[in-house]
Amino acid sequence: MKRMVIFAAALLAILAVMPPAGAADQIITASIGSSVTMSTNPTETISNWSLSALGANTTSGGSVGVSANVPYTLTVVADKAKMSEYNTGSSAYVSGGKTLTNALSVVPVLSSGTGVPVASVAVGTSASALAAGVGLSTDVYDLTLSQTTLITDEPLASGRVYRIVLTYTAAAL
Amino acid sequence: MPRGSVRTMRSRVLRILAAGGAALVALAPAAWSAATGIELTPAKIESDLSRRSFRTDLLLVNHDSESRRLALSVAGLGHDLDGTWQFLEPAAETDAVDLSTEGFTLASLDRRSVRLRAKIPDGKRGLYAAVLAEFSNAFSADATVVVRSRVASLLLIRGPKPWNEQVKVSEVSLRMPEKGRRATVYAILENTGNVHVYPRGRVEIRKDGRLLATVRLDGGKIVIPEFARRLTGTWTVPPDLTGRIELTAIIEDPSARGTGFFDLSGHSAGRAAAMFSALRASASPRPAVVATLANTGGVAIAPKVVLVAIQGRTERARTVLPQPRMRPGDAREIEWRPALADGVYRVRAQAWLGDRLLDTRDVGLRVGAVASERAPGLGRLLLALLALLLLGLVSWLLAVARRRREEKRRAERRAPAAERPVAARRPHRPGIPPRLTGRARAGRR
Repeated sequence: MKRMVIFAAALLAILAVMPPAGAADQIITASIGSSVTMSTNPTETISNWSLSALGANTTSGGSVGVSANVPYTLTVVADKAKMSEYNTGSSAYVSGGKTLTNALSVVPVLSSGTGVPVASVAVGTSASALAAGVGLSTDVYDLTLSQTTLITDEPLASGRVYRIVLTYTAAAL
Repeated sequence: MPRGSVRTMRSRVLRILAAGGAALVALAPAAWSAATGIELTPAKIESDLSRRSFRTDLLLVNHDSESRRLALSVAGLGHDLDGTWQFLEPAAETDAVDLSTEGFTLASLDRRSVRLRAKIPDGKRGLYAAVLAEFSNAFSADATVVVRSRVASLLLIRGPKPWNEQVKVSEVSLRMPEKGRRATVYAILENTGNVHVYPRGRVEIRKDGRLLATVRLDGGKIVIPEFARRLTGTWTVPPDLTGRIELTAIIEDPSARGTGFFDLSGHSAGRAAAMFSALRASASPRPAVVATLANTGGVAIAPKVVLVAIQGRTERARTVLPQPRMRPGDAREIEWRPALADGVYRVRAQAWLGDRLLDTRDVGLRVGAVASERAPGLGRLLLALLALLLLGLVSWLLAVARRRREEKRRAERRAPAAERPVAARRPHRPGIPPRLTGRARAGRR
């Protein structure tokens, strides 16, 4: 008897909290937050860039795409002020090693979208603006890397390359 | 119309439509899919809090056709004079923001939430930081240029009031172009308050007390505490105007005022420019700061470089280094070895030409071990002690209870059988003889 009473009470409690058929509409709310999307593909990592001993050297740096629903900025920063001697065997920069005289430049060109790139950026260890956009679009920038060498820039021994790491960052304005 | 001709016409129309469609597809530009890359949302969290801590979720989505390995980090947030974001690592803000994960692999078309908990650092009224999600393509050991990509979520948080919204006009001046008379009028505002602001204002230009022009500055730009920003406007200098002019910046939101002078006669001085192409700080083996200053203007300059190490809002070390003459295009490396105690600093480099600020940059520096590396964490030690105390307390309570039970039992044994409480006797069930306890059993023997 006691068990039947307990069971009945539990059943009534469950029924009380269940919404009856034909209850009020379910309310769903959603929102879109500010968003920035960046693509590295096909931004390329450059290997075996053969630099001439004197003059301007250019190579494709691939491209970077930014999709944003808010105004955004695209910046570039390097780990070194100039391309520096790197030991491929130990995977480390050579302490006190050689560096090129001039800084590497990145030249962005808008290939689609509405963004506004700068003319050219000499990369450094402080972030520099590469492009900006008003958002609500996908902007694609083709990148060209330009490195001017001088006759005083020294060639490197086998197993050593001049290297630099570029970091592109997309952020809301 | 005969049936055959209708069929022929229909098939002809279909062929034409098909051809047109194919042409449209062929002519369509090679499209970059709008849904490509790594998405981070929200891209900016700007909020005024009623408390000093908060939590929220960030969403990362991989729109690429292949999986991506993401590395998450937290950096301090600042900006240069032109408003370009500077992500400062390390920074004191790094310890104020905690992420539920430092990295993961996100499959193609997959999404993942990351929980963020943050608190406004002690002694501050706001939190200015960025969460960075970094990803990169694979590269070989002999790669010449390695590319990394990041998307950022900015945190612009103001804590409970009262706030101190204040800016100082560091400089008001004019920059003449190489050719022509369309000059850039600017005012450099330094945020001396403790929360970010969006100042706006104008510059009034006078000569001999007479108002020549009022130039509206491009306001509504964020200025973060302890950083400076240049607001600009343009003014066409009248062709017959020479001599010295006075420029007065009148700023609102918050209010500030500043005055500067410019001599139009020697306006080539307006083409003086310099910038820090590199600013690095390292702590090992001893704190060292290396700044590379480049003359990016059209005239030779002899600037003064000011290097400051700031902890919180306190300057811990400062040096002023006058530089010898630099021709246009010259770059010079400047080194400074400050004596700094363990801690996290922001190192600021400024290049001055007289009272004119040419450039300012910041970089983070951590000296000594991270607080959490030095000791397992004061918090964790306290928790461990508390746990031990609780364990001890529980053990003591149990021992006390056990002792009382034993005493009670002994007291019951000593008491005559008739006085033993009923509960001491086992409950008797009808038809079943009660079990004999100790004394009764002994009596039977």
